[in-house]
Amino acid sequence: MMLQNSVSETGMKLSGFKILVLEDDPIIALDVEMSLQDYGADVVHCLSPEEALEAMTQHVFNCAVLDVNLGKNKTCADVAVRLKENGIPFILHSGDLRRRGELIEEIGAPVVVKPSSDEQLVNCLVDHLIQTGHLSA
Amino acid sequence: MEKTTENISQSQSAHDDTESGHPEDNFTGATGVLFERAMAQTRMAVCLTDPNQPDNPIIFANRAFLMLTGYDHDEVIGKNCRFLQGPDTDEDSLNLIRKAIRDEEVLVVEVLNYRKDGTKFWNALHLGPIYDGDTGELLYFFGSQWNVSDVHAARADEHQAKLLARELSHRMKNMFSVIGSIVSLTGRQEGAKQVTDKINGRIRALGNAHENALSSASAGPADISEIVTAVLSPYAAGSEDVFIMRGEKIGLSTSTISLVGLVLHELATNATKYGALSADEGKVTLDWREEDGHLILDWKESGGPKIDHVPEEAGVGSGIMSTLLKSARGELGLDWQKDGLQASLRMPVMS
Repeated sequence: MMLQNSVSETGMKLSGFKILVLEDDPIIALDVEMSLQDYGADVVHCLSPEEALEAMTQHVFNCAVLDVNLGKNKTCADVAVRLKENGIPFILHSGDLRRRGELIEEIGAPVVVKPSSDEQLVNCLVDHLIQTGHLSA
Repeated sequence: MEKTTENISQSQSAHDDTESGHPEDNFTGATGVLFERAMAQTRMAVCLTDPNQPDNPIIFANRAFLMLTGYDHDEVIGKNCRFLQGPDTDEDSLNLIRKAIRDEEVLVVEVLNYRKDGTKFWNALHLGPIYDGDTGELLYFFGSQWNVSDVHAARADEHQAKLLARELSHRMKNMFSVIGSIVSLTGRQEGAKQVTDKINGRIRALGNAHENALSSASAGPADISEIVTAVLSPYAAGSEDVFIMRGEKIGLSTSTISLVGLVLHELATNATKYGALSADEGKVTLDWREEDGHLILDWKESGGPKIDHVPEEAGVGSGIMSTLLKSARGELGLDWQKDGLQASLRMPVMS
């Protein structure tokens, strides 16, 4: 399938960034992946927390986008802890603020509420990277 | 302490009504007969226990008590009330009961009890001490039992309904996310990303508009302020005072919610591109009210760039939105003032 990457008006803000995307829905994952690629990012997608923890031993990530609920009572909590330990900034991408409110608060990262647009997601990530000093404004 | 005093006075008045002040004479004499009849006929289950005997046994139980528990008179007299407990009786409520008896306190507690045939019922138990009016000596404990199983069932149903509503809301959001991603990916494939982004914006607005109605588990119509807030919050970009909202509570039907959500989305999108929301200091004031079965919603932008001509690309009030509104017998008036767009939505509040 040939998919067109739209050239963003705002340029390649995420050029050179290696981004971990943890998302258990493959359709949403592909969309997020391509949206980040639009801005020049190099994306590694993981379907489960186990995959993500494994990927973190093989890649050096600059930042991450984590879905919170990962099916079968799995969450991104362990991955969030590991990212924090390694000083890697990340944002959460979740449609489940009501049920997972406590966990989200505990993790304490910016949240993009699903369903979201490409722009909302990328803007939130870029803002967070700027705020944490990982990207210059 | 206050509650204990209350009981002393209650038992005092009971004593005063009888011919003699002695507790054993309580159920004798003319008043005693009336009292006994009342006890026999009331639907409130009542029993008295004697804390001065070993293991605080029941010394009196009325007909309602026997009806509720399924036991015969002889089976309950002389027994401690604990025969009403069973395997699923909550230990915490039992501890409350034990403490109230130990400290001679009044207690109202819901406890799961068992009938003679083993069936369960939720018992709203009201217990407390009865003192001798003269000496202040502890004579009895009274216990009144009320079967509140139906109340419990209703509460459990409500809880279930809330859980279900949250689950549905989550699944709906997830579906909206997947739909959005498919639309977006299709846009990439067909080289029409701009078109599909527009479609997705509208789909998200619909999802947000209906989000509260779906998750609140309330059967009634959704209040407009919840819908306005849900649809516009993505455009507030973190600062809360971008939108100033004023309006009364108006319940909207499902189809009205969809249209209000879409109109607000179009107005906000337009304001983000050309209007108040494109400037740091920009504000939008929303006023709404109900008039003759119509929702009137005024949208007023300020603090944005000066407007000297009607934006050509403006999607509001043109094309599909105006057609949609027309089909709902509504209209959207647009006034492109220099200081900012003023729009007025008018549509029937359908029931």
